[in-house]
Amino acid sequence: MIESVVQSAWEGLRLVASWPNIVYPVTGTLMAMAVAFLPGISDATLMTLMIPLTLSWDPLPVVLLYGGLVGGATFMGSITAILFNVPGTGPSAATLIDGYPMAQQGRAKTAIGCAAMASAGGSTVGILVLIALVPLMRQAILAFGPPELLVLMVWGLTTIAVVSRGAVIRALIAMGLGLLLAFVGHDPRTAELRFTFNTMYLWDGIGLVPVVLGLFSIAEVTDLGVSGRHTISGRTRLDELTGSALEGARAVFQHFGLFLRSSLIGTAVVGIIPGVGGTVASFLAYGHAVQTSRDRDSFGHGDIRGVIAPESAHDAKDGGALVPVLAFGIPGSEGTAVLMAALMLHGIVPGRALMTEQLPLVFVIIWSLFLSNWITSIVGLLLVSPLSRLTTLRMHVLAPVVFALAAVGAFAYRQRIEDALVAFAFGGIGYLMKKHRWPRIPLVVALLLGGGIELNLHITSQLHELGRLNIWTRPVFMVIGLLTLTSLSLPFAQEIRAHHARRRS
Amino acid sequence: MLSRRHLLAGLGAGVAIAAVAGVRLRRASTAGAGPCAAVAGRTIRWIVPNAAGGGYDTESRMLQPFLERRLGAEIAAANVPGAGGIIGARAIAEARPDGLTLGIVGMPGLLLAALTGTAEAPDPVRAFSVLARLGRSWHVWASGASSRLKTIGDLLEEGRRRALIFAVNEVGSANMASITVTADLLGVDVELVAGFAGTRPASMAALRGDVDLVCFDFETIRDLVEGSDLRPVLQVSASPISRHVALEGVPLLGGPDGMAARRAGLSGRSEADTQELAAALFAVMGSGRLVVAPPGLDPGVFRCLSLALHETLACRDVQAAAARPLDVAAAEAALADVRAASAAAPPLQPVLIDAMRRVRH
Repeated sequence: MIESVVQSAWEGLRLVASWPNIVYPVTGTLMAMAVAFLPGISDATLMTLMIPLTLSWDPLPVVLLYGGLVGGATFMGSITAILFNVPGTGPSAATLIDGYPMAQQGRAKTAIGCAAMASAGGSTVGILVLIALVPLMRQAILAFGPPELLVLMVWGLTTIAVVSRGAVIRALIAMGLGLLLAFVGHDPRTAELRFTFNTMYLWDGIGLVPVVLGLFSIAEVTDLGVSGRHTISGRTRLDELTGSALEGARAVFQHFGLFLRSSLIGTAVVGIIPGVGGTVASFLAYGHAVQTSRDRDSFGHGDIRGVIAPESAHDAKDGGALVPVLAFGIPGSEGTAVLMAALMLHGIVPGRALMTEQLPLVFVIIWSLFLSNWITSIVGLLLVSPLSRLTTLRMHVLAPVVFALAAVGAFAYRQRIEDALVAFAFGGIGYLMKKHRWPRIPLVVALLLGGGIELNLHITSQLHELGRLNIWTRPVFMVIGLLTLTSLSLPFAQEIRAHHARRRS
Repeated sequence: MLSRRHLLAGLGAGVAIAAVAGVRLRRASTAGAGPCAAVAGRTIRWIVPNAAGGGYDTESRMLQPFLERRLGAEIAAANVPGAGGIIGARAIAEARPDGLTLGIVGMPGLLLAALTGTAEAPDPVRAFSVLARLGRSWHVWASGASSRLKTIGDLLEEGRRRALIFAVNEVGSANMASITVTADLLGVDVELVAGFAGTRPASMAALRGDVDLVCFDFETIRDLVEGSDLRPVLQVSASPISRHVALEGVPLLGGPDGMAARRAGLSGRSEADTQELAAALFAVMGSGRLVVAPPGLDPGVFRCLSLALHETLACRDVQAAAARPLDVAAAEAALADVRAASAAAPPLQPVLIDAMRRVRH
């Protein structure tokens, strides 16, 4: 088995690296990177648009192209998070906690360089774990049922306690608000409508994208305008910015242990579980970075470790996220759903046959993704200077552009004008929260995880009532449950220890 | 006085306009004159009532280049997901009937929504101009590979002792209707564990042994059946769903020798009532996924679109490109099936309402 995996991996690498095959993943990557900056065109939209165009192609070029498309969009969302406090994708929300303060301090180059290096390194770890997991893919996925998903999401929610040091009560209230918002719409178990006020718009709940666009991008620009600050970085010339991309890239190696642990959290803990997604990976890694650091006070104020952890976890997750798609045809995101559809239209059916009879093709996807992640990071590094210049843009130029992009992005999310209105409403809420020092991240994390927690709690409790669940025989549940308890109790333990230390001194 | 730069810019713009006009003219000439002139060279908005990557979306993208060539029009697929497909279906029903808005709807879902009193759902019979049927979804009951329930006999035997546990996606969905009505016909109790995010997560629950069974369109779980992860135990249809080897010997629910007829006595229903309920279920499930336009379409445009669709769907290349087998019907036949399903559906109502009430309380 191992020999066959190694042979297939080599064959896959040969196919990707040969001419003209390599053109496809490179093109896919550059296309995905280009559209990542356009509001309303997500990686999934681009991949969907490519389906009719590639219908007459042979399967191999399609696989190569889609590998590039999947990998290309990941890193770019982090750039907008760092530069404008606008998370281009959900997982980038964790990057902005420390990335944006770095940009405000004029250290955007360092933050982007660090994100690019962590992203490329993280994806490499992810791919290596994926290759190691190939023989065990099916068992790994089957180990995660609703109870395991439940504890994992609760673990993700506990990171709120970590990211909101100093404002725990406010963070809990914001989290409660996020959970309340998450419960709007269909009850996932009974399909009954809740809090919809007879509006069809609310049937599917409040979308994460308009909320994030409002809470961060609109609120941020409003705050900048009101505060009288001329530019994001407070500087108007590029040579006034400090730091360098090299300094950022070097920081990843200086904190190699954190990078490696975060990458493993992204791949092995979160990536392989369908439906959990990169956002949980990023926040878990961020929480881990804070909890395992001795000097925690700098987090949230531009600590580079707060960029390394989420970025490496987020990109490492991509490799793991292919596991459920390839082994069982379970897409964990809209992007992987479209990838699967494209593969199936070319006769490549995910499942046992693909994992045995067409293993080289599996590796073609894996290596294309790997190549794509590295190209994205290298291009990101090359673009550090022009991108950093954006933090020196004056407000009268920046504000209308950001407002327009936020409105278009919110509308394009589901083609609903109501989403644009929701974005601006949350822009107002976000501005007030920022002004009065209420943390916004807990609201977003709770909105993101609330639905999944509720659903998996229902299914878990129903399976338990029906006698189909014995948690004592589910080791994965036990391990993640223990990690969650540890994560929750650690801050208290550290607080008690610090208290005793203060009394002794 | 014009500078060279202005001249070049003007020339460039002229070439671009001529190129666009040329493409449009070529498209228009491909479609020819007549009723199709109304859409030739124009952009047709094709509404997919689900998110990108789903079955309807994949089918739409597959069809797009073939239909574009036949109509000489550009097709812009738009995903309008939400409310279990109702928002997208309404977007089609409420669009202007000019032939420039088409889309796919799942008729079983709309018929069931009408039965269960979802006021916002469009009227399945009157709200659309039905242009063609793409395919139909026939369900199978399947157990996990390691389950003790290997045959319908095992299942009925176990069903005498306890309720059979199913994983379902959504309350009120077509697969839930299929489970509850079939269980009613077989005279067994079922417990529904609802909320799984699609066919695959529910199938994994069966594979893990968290639940006993799943009930899905055979084509959507065919690879799991072929990989020996799931084992079909019952075909929820009146005739064999497919000639697939995995379905050989798997009993049918309907038909004169079907399980419903054999179990008629046990369910406490007369044979005629049993047949009526089974027929209602098959009629609703067989109404299929349809290509529709808003009602009130000009007869000429309707003829053009329905003919173009039928010819496209009959094309061998299209059949080969489809990810799941097509089961095509022309506009008239598809509409007749919808009307028949709507007329036959009422006996399902009490069973569905009762099942939903039990899940909710």
